[in-house]
Amino acid sequence: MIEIKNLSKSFNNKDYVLENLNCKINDNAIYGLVGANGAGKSTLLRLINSIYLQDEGTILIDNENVYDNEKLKQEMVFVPDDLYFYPAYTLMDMAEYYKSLYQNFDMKYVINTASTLKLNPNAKISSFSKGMKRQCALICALASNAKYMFFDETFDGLDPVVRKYFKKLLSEAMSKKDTTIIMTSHNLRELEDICDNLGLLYKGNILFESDIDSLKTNMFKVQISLKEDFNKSTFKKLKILSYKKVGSVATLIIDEEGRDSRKYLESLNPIILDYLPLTLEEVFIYQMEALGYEFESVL
Amino acid sequence: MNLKAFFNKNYFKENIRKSKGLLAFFFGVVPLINILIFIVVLSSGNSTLVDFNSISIVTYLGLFFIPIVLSISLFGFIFKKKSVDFVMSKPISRKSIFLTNTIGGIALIILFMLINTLICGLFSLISANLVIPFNLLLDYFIFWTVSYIFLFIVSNLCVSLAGNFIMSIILILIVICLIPFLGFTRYFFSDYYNYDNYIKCTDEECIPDNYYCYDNENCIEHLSNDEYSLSFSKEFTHNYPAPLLSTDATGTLYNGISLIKMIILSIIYAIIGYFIFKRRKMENNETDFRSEFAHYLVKTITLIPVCLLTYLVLLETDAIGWLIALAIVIIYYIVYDLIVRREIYKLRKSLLIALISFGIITGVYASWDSLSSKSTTIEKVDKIILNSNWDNLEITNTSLINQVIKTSLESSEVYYVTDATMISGNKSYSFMIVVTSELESMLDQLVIEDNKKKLEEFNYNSIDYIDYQNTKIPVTNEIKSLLKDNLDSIVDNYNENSSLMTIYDYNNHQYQKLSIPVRSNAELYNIVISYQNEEFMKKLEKYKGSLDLNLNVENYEIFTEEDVYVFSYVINSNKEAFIKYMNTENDIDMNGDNASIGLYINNYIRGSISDLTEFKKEFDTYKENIKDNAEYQSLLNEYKEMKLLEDSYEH
Repeated sequence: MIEIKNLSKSFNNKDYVLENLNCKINDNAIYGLVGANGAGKSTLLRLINSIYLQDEGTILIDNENVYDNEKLKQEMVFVPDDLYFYPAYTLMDMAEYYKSLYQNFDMKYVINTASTLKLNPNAKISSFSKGMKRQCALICALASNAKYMFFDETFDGLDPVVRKYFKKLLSEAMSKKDTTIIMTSHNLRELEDICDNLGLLYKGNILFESDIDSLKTNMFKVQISLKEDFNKSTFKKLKILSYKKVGSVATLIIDEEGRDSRKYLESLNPIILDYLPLTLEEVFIYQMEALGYEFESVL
Repeated sequence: MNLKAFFNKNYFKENIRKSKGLLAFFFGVVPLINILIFIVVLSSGNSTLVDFNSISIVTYLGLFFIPIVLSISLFGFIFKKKSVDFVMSKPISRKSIFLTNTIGGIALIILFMLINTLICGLFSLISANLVIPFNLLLDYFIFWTVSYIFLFIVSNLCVSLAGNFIMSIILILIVICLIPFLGFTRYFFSDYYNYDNYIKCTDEECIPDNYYCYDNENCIEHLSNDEYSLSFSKEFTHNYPAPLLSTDATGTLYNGISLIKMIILSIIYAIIGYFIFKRRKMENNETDFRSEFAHYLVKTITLIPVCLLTYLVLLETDAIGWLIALAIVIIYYIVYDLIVRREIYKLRKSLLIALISFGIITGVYASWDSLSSKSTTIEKVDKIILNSNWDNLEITNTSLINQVIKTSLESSEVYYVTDATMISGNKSYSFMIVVTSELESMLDQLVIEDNKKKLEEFNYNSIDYIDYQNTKIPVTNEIKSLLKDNLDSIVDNYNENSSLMTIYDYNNHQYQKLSIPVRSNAELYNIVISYQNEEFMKKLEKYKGSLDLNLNVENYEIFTEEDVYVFSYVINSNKEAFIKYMNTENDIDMNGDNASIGLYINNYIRGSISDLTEFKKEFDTYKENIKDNAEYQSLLNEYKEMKLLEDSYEH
């Protein structure tokens, strides 16, 4: 388990990129970290991977401090947003490099995956396109068989087919090898079909986190019209995250929180009552609005 | 103990592999140039005794690049955010990265120096003409290995501190140059131009017979304290670590004190570098420093040499100089930021710091400058070393030191002057000795005594090289025994000025050399001259073109001036006969009328004629053979015309 306590990091001793951040990420899950540009996603991943040293707080993985922990880092792999490869290296060279550092590195996995993706393992990576470079980095990371994998802007540059393929590989890694995957994106749609949990990083802190299933099953967009005049207070028995009324039709965003809203709304004899599904993006926007954040401007 | 924590072979292999081309170039260029130099030296056919400086030239030049390139190749990843992400996220700790790179880098340097040393040793082994003593090779290996490692560790420290390549180079320059720069600048201002110098003389032998102060109040005041005005200047002596090495009186770059300093500093800097790297903020890249204080501190330090320039401008100009100086400082501060940060950083604050720093540094220079007007008095001279003309003759005898000072203070007969160094405590002063004929004979005697002492102390078992008139004489046990067994006759014959051979022993990091009169022993003479003639004849027979020969005779009773003038032509015209004569008739005789023949091929080598009278007869037959030769006749006429011209000048 990854446990982050009171984590703070600033780059100039004044403005904190991360401030007093607390977070727990359970094992054997895919955790999506979303946030706008500059929210601190990459910094958080760099801190977890002990690239940076935090100003305050602790980061524990399996109850061990991660900073400069060579033994623990055997179980961690990080693919950053901005990829780097040694000059003139081929995929095989990179794989050899990873193999020399990761004890459980699977060279066969590299060869097979490269073959599936039609990547020439002996061609210089510098001659590859942006997407192919990303593929190389992801293949090497997955082949490391690390228990904790961290991907920053995971699918950046990948075409839809390859993206889908890697999503499959990530899911396999999680299910077959008990891997915990933490991936960041500023695009919620990209994470929604793969992540088990999502956390929203905003101005250096995790404002909100939840598992996707409960997010989707607990929140609804409802369009309702009543015979009598009504306002927001008419629905005070429900937890309303957002309320908008145009003419005689109101649009509500309801957090069920275990209650059965439909039963209650039907008891009001509505003229119109429609339950509409919410996209993950909408879920986040309304949750943030409920918390008082102007999230729309950020996403 | 986990050895991998100290040296991760896989990581080092890959880290080196990524820059293999660059490293191969830099590591290969030094041995390659050395090999080329050796080939050129050997192809000249001359025998060469290699000294520490000549074996070190290319290695010394490489010192300015190789350790820095190596350090930046190994640690340069920290200058780029994406390479930091790549390397630092891997399962290797900061401790392992630093120790692996440091240990691996040192191992590479040792390997590189070992290859260089072996190349030198190999050339020395395969060629009899190239002599490199084993102790010299050992000194070369140890001194330059330590120097390279020192600079590598300094570079590692600076790279660990800096956020980009340019800043790391600036920090390297600060670490290696700042103290020497301040030391030299202080010397330059306070001592180099100091002319108000005195020497204390209380001994009767030192006090000059005639000395005048010419109403100079300072001079009179000092005279009342037995202090006499003498023109000397304090020398800038130092033992800085590499690469700012100094040569000692013998001119060798090998400096034992620098070596010890480098070893100690390497350990200290490596420890500091380790802790800095462990705590380094890896986000500090693609700029100079994250810390504003560090930025201003380093910028101000780099202003020190700039302020020397502006101070010199101020000295030479009036009010306009201040404007020029301020303009230089402001431009420098802006340009500095643009170079190291690619932005003008907090301009107003920066300029304020620039002005304050400029004021302080200029004040320090001015205070040093004011020291040049103070008078210097040498209280006691421990030693005087005579330089150029006297082959670093050391005078330690108080009486003779007093004599030397006395002649230099007096306004008396000047035979000639020679440069010398006075040693007083740990300071040394250069001055000119006035040599009178009386002093010269005393010094001559000292040279003889000195050489006799050296003769007795010389280790004849470890002779590395013997030179006789540019011919390398093989160092054999026979010669060693002859020298050891006939020490008395050598010492007795020491006044002999001619026919000196020089023996060399590389000992105590430099060549101990000693002149031996070959005529002190018939057997020695026989061995040396036989070998000299053998070499002379080899060259003579091998060289196909026209020979450039001259005959050296001490008087012209047997050979006339005309004979000497036409000598080269006559011998060239009778080359076969001359070779035959030299091979069959020229028996070595130490007591005969000796003369030597110089042959110039690349440099002069000589052969000896043992019986000049006999050779004259042979020479006359050669002349007879070519008497009708028009070229010969023309040469004779040329000589006659030259003589006539000389006579007319004389009249």
